[in-house]
Amino acid sequence: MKNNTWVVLQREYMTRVKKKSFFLMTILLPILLVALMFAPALLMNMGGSAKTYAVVDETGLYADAFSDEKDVFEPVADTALGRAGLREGKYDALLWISAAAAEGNRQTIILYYEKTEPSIEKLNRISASAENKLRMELIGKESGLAPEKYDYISKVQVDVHSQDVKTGERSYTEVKTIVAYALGFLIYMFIFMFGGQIMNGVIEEKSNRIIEVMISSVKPFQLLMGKVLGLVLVSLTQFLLWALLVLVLTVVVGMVAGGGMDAAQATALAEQVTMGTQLADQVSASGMGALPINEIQSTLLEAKEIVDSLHLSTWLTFFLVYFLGGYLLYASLFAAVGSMVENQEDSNQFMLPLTVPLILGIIVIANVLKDPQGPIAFWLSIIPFTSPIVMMARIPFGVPAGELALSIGLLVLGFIGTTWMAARIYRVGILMYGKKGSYKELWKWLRYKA
Amino acid sequence: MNYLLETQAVVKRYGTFTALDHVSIGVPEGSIFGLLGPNGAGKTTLIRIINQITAPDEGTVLLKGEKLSRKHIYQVGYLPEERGLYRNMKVGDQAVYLAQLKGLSRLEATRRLHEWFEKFGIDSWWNKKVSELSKGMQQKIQFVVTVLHRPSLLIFDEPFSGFDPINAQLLKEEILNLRKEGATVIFSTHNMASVEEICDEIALINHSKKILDGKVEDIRRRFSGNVYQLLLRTEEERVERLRSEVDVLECNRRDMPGFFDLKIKVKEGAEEGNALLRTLLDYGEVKDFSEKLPSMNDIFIQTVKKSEENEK
Repeated sequence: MKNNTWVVLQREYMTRVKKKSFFLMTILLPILLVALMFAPALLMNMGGSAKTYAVVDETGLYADAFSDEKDVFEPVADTALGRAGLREGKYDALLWISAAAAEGNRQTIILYYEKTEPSIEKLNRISASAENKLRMELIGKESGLAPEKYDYISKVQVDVHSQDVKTGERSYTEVKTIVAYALGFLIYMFIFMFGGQIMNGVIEEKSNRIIEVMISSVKPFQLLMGKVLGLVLVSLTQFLLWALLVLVLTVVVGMVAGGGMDAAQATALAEQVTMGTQLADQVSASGMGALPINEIQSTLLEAKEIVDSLHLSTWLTFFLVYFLGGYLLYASLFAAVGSMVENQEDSNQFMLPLTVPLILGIIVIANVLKDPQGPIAFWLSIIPFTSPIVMMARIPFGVPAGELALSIGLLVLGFIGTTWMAARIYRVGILMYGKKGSYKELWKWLRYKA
Repeated sequence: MNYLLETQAVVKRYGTFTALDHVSIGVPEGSIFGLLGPNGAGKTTLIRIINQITAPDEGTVLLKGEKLSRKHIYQVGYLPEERGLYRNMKVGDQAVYLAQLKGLSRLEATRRLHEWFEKFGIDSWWNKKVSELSKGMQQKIQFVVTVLHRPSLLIFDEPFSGFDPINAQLLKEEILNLRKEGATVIFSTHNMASVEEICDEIALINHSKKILDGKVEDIRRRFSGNVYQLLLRTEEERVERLRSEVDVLECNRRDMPGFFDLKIKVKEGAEEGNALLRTLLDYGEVKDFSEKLPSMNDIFIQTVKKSEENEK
């Protein structure tokens, strides 16, 4: 009878892993995530087709101001000519830089368009180009400073690199912030995803009326544990596949990007990179020819350095610990909710106590990132219902071992407690038909004798 | 008496509601035992207790004289009234899974399932999804899964609902067959005709209490109103004379001339039937003569009504 949990577990695992949706999820989710990250930037670059602008420059200042890669700017003698061209379709828009609208450091440019209005991005770009031109002009006129000098001065940059005093490692705080957010969010997402699957499984068994057959051979607790643990294996399988996929993708991308770069070159480049931005500036200043490959390579090397500084293996370990803890804490509660209803629509009212702490965890992450050692961060990373999310966001910034131990210890106690409680609700709930669960009913169920 | 299953003064309460109130039944080994009662009487609760889905608050349940415990799970097969299967699983996988939960190895389960499926002519369903099958087809699979692990106690709750007459007959034969092979069957149903047909003993439960139990034959005789049903070939005026001699409850003339269906009540007593028959011989030709036993249906209604009046 003991191994009935094992029989249930096997079924739960096999039916889920064999599903098409599991396969799709495994392949598509990483692609989707990557796409979500890069798509906006990509779309921005591709945005819009090349346009031809007629430029009527009455000030004579902006002749070479607009040198866009794609768009064509054609000087035109007067607005009448420009308008005519606009109507004929020769131009897409007309820029009128009126001398009357110029006053000191101010200039208004009017853009005439027909039918299609230019995007805010186009306007901003034109504005930026014109401002730049006007700035250079005024510097020459008002201060006598050579424009090249001004350009040099205006591009000053001060970087603050945080560094661990013991290990001497550089810490990439910005990157950590993003990763912390991502990790918290992933835990949140996975708890909902796998918790929801358990709940639906329970609802299916109840509404299919297979449950009565099942529990004449399996104790409700065994059935519950078989389901919960079966999904643990499913989730671990999924993680493993994702890890493999990421590894393969990384290797492939690395081979494509780093093609032709031998080891000696790599070390040389690494040295260059560590020498800092000064060199990089020189590189970017000196001709465009050999740049792209070098740039990608140095980016990759820097990425590698960042990744190294993140201590990925530590994170992954804690990610697994907190995912498992959080999942086990919530999974049986999701099952209990499933046992109280006969269809998914009814589950919403009972989901509230589960969703509130999870959403709270996500909301406070922003706060936690600002002050990773503050009271909110501390308490919510100790309380088991929010700790899986909040602690994940704290870990990149370093958490005292004592707090970690307390948090994990409470999480373990927490999931034992919720499982015990959920099991008591579950064993009554799965056999209740026609009677809608209510919080008052729940209290009664908790006290029924087994 | 050699009981396979015995419940002794079993009580089950849900909060303030008493679902079973000191219910004692004894199911003789190798019998088919009808568990009867109106909806909500407590039958399902009793069945769940026997299946160890819930535990009684008071009283004991004995299986083969031993107190019921987890190890007996494999000796019981249960076909609930509300039954279902995983819709997206294949028939074979599903059946093997349920059999494994009853302690069979994967290999043994597969072997026995193929035997049963072939017997029922459904072996071609093995790789079909459950959702592709009709309700009646699903019921067949559920029946097979219930009996597959050869339990010594089988519990069928409304087994014939959802079956067409041909398959219901097939099922009935299989149930009788299982008894012949030594299984004991508890049979819960509202279909009183099938109770008369296949049950050896019954217990009737109403409002959480057992109100009647015993052998079907004994009960029917106990409820007998000492009425005989007969077919007499005679003439009109002789029937009239007969009326003055005995207590004729009903008299109907058949389409055929000279044939009369009669219902006659006699006094309580061992030889009253014979006395009536002797009297009848003087009034015509007796073509048919039998004691009219009440149907289980009548007994059910009568007993339940009476118990409800008593409660008031």
